[in-house]
Amino acid sequence: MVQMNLEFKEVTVKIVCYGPALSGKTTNLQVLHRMFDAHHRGRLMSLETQSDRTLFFDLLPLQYQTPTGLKVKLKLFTVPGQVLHNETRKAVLTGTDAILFVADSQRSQALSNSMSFKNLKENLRINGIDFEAMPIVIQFNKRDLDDIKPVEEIKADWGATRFPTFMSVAPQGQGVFECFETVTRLGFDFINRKYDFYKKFGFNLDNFLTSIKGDKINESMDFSRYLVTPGQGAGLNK
Amino acid sequence: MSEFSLEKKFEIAELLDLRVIGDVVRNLSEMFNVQLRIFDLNGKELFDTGGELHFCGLIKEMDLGDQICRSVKEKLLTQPLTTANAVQILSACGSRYTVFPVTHQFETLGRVVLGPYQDQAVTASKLEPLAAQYRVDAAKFVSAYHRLPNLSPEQIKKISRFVSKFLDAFIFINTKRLLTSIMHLELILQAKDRIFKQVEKENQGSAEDRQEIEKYKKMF
Repeated sequence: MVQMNLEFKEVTVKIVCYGPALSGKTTNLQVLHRMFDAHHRGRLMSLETQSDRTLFFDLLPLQYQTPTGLKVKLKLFTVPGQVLHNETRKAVLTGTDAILFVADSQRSQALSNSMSFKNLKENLRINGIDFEAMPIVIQFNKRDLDDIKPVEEIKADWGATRFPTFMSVAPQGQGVFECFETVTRLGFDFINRKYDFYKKFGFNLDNFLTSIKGDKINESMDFSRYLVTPGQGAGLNK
Repeated sequence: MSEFSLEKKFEIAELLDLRVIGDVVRNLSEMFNVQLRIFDLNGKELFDTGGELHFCGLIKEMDLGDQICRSVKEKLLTQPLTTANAVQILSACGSRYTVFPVTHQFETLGRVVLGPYQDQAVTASKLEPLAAQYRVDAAKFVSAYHRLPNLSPEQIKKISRFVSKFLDAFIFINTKRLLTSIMHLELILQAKDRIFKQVEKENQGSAEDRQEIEKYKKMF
């Protein structure tokens, strides 16, 4: 849940990248870190890795200050995907405001994806978070590999759900920023509905996103290429 | 695993190995002959390289010396530091200081004070009236003042940037290590708890086992 420190005019929002092992969660954060505006990004902290597998979590903090002096901090976390690290996943999920679910598009990974998605639902419940209300974006990653779930199938399976779905090739940055922007928009809108955040603090989400992404990302974004289904009632205007 | 480990805010003293840091900072300090001090958020001094104290000694001997020192120290420790940029502070006796925050992932953990050093805008003609004002021997005052490090704004900028980057890297590595250790420890404790429960369950065993244990219990 969003942390608001009115004394220091500070708001902290948390977004978690969830998904099965080796689906590309850390790669998503690495790509985002490389491309974010240097003034607004912190260091990418990876705790810790064993043969390139996340054991605890990754954290990428971002900060932006509105013209009214409000400091907005956005913390992007990943969870460890391996089944045995469920306690860490539960802990990382605590207080999350939005989730990016990174799925592996390969057909062979359908079971891992589904188990991880079910695990997400269960861990949210354990944390007292309403799954139905939680903003979630689904990213079908690894679109450059063979034997992947076709776009038509993604449309058919996810088109009627509330979850916006995207295609991506994370190491090449394809679809990563589009997913990030969407999950951030959904997360902030979710908080705004609860706390009237934009009006109270004079916060402008577009300015925030434009600033932290920097020109490089803003120019390269292409929603029409990577968005598969917009999610029923998600209110995406792009 | 506790969610608090993820959000734990460490204090600067937990994240700086002052002996290791001291070696690097002291060398830098010696190179430029400038004093460097590190303070935590509460204004507690954690590290001091020491420096040219001749001028400060002279100031302290003056009637208003203590008052001047207190006032400068208060400014150095309370000057709001909103960004990673350094702030310059001019003392009433003509010396200059640079203060900059120690930050980690956008959180302020403490501050570094660089100085005193000569203010390049203060010339001998400005020092003599100051000496008169504080009723101290002008020649002594000017001589002591000129023993303070004479650093150009560019040098100050470079030193500040170096110390800032160095501390940032050091703190980042230590935060990572500390968090990793805490999380490892939490996992071990959880595993211990799980194993204890498992052993307890195994020990309870079947009804047959329990009967046997009861039998032995009577035998002891």
